[in-house]
Amino acid sequence: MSSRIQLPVVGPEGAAQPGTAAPAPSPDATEGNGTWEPRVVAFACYWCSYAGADMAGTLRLHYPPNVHVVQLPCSGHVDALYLLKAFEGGADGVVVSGCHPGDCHYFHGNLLSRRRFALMRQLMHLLGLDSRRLHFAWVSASEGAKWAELMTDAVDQVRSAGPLGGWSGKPGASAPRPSLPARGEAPRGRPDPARDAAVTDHLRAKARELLEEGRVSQVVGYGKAPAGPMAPLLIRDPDGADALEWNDRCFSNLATYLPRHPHLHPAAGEGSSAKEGAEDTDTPANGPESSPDGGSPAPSPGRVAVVAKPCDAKAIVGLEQENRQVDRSDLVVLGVPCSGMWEDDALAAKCYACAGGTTSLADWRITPEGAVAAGEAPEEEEGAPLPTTEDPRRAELDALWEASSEARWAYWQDQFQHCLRCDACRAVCPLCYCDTCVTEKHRPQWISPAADAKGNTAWNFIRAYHLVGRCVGCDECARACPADIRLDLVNLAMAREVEERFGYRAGEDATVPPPLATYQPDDPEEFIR
Amino acid sequence: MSYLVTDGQLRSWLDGLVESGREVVAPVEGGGPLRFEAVRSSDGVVMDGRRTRWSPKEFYFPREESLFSYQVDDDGTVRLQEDPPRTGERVLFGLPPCDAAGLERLVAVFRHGPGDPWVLARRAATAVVSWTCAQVGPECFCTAVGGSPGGDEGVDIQVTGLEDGRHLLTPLTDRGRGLVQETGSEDWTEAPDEAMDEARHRIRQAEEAVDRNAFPASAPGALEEGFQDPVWDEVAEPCLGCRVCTTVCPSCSCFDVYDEGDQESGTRTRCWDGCTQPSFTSHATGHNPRPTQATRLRQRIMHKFSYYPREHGGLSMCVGCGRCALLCPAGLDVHQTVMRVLERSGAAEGAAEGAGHDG
Repeated sequence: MSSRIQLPVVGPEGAAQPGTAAPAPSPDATEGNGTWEPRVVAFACYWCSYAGADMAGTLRLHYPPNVHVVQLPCSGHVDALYLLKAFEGGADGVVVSGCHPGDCHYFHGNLLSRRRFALMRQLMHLLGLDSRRLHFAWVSASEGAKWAELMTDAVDQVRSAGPLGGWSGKPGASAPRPSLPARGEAPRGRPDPARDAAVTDHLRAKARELLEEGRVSQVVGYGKAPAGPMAPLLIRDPDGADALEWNDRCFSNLATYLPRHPHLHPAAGEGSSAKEGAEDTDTPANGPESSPDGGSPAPSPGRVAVVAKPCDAKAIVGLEQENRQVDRSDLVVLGVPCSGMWEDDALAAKCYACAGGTTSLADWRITPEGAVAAGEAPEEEEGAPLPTTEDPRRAELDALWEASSEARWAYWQDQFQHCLRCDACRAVCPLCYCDTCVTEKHRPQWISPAADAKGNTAWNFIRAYHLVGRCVGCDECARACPADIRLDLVNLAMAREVEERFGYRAGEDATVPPPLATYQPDDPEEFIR
Repeated sequence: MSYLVTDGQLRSWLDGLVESGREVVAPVEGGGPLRFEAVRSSDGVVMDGRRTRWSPKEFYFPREESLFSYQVDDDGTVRLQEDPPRTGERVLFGLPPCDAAGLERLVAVFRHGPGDPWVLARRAATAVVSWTCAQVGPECFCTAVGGSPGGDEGVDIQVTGLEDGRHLLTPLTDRGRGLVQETGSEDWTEAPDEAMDEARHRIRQAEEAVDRNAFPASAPGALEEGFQDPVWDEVAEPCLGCRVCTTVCPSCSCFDVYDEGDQESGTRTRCWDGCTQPSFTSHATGHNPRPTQATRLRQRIMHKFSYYPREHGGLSMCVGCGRCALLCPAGLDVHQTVMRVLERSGAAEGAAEGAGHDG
């Protein structure tokens, strides 16, 4: 079906081809002759690279006519979606070019984008894009010769890589598949249920006290569900505190309830029945005449207590860091002593390398002996840190990187084909708090809503990219995924890249700028020509 | 007439069905979760009665399908091309009774009005072989909505696993009998009465294993009366607004229609959507008639347990497979949700008594 569609390449329509590059031959014509010609889309900034391309023309330099140039105001304007759309629309390769560092017309557009380029590139490679298909370069207005050279080389490389064969083509059964190593034994056993039970008792008592004294309007914790592991439990009534639970099956990252919490954001539209109740005109087909669905009392603004494991607490830091999606002073963090989450007698992968314990963010540290206010008891009381081993997924990632790009492509497409586009990954993610997700934007339709190869590849790419440098590694997306897509592996690969490149780990310090909102003059740029 | 068949005989039958040119869809594993897929042979078909992660509804109502496409020729002529409904014969093999029933209720939605030619054509060309359920989980509640682990709604041929590893195969409809006559083997032996008794006994055992209370007959009306009840805000509070429940559900039928293309060519496509997500009812003006998660979750529950039964002789749209409860990241259990609303109106009194899981 999709093969019939010719998507327009993103950018100003009818942009003149600068230089001597004639319009690329139409694919039909070349395919008809049995010879394939690569199609390369070049995103060039207006001030330097596009002028450089013009210079190539003025100098009468020759370079292959396979390049479609798209002019942008600044290389800082290059969004991962542009790369995606170019590949989706039939490009076999993409070149991104901007002013040299220090030359940006907007001071630091290219320095900010330099960080993003490194990560877009890494993510595309992880998902199986051949490295010969994506090129980055700084080209100044005087570097006509460099532009021509760059285009010649890029087209040559794309030609050697061959036709992309569709950005979301299904890999053949015979395509190579990487083999991931088996996981080693967990570094520790399941925690003592008696200890969890003691913690549960003190957690209930503290939650009840906070609600009774009116110090919080709600407690967000864990409770039993009829099927499956512990589920989020939101309580307002002090008596409800007795349903709270703490054990090694409390997977959910409860921080996800905070950015849209009606008590913390009484003015926020989404989710606040008090504010928008009056708009509710939905009535049963035969029911009473339209009257507002304002049955529930208005949620009063107030503080919210939230039960947090150390990994979940990182999300709270991230939310505070990003323009205070959550105000720390509105929260009472109930830190629980975590020794790892277990499902089907297997320790969760994220817990292998984590020594557990209680988050330093805790206002109340719930111990088996009682609830301890922040700063009251010395840390030593909680005993030695738990034994750890290396995160087993690091070896899995190494194996993935050692495999060919073709094998990586097959690995991910095998998984993406099962994506149902249920958006559970997005819903459980505490950092996915946008009111309108990019998948809901229809002009243009950046991400196809269909659960087909194209839409699924696009969604899984952009989901991962939008969390780069932000994901705190709670792995809830991967656990929520009904199709078992290894979203945790994508997130981890990108977190590793961010750490190696920029020395940054998400969720540790709310006072530093997020890595993609800042830059260093000497950020590595080994991949940029 | 029922037959006694071995595992091997069932597999050769499947191979024969494939060779006859029919598309055979069966549960498979590996390279992803346990799921229904079109198979080329019986190799790798899972026949142990475990339930797939999501329902096979995509074989009637695909995740996405082209409705029509257009092409504008150089002379300005617009050519419209409608994708014709699929009519090739297909066998859905290994459905649990809840899925078989769920798919019937899904198709019923597409029969409304002029009827949906694509879905109805697929249904008309499909034979359903159902595997009676012996693996009742804590999420299951088919008996609460009038179903059974041995249910035969929408089933052409029923298969029940027996103690000795053999299977009792019973054609239930003309289509089922025809299929057995045409493709069944002469090796199949006629089942003795003891085998029939054993099958009935196993189904009864499975029925007893379902640990959930039935909804009262008054549920559809009671839910409607509770439409404005603030309890909806309470039950929906943990709901995160994804649509894992609607995508894995055998009877959820909501879809989105979108156009993709330009002035030269394009396609109109239909793809799955879910009423639990804010964008589903979002208007172009920005107004959303279901502005809160409570109103959206209520819609899903009301459609399943109130609106649909009212139009289909009391039949619940939900078949109690429990997949939505198992996969909900917020741990929302649809049976528990309905019970909580019913308790408010008193309709669940008696029904809720002694409910092990409902609190």
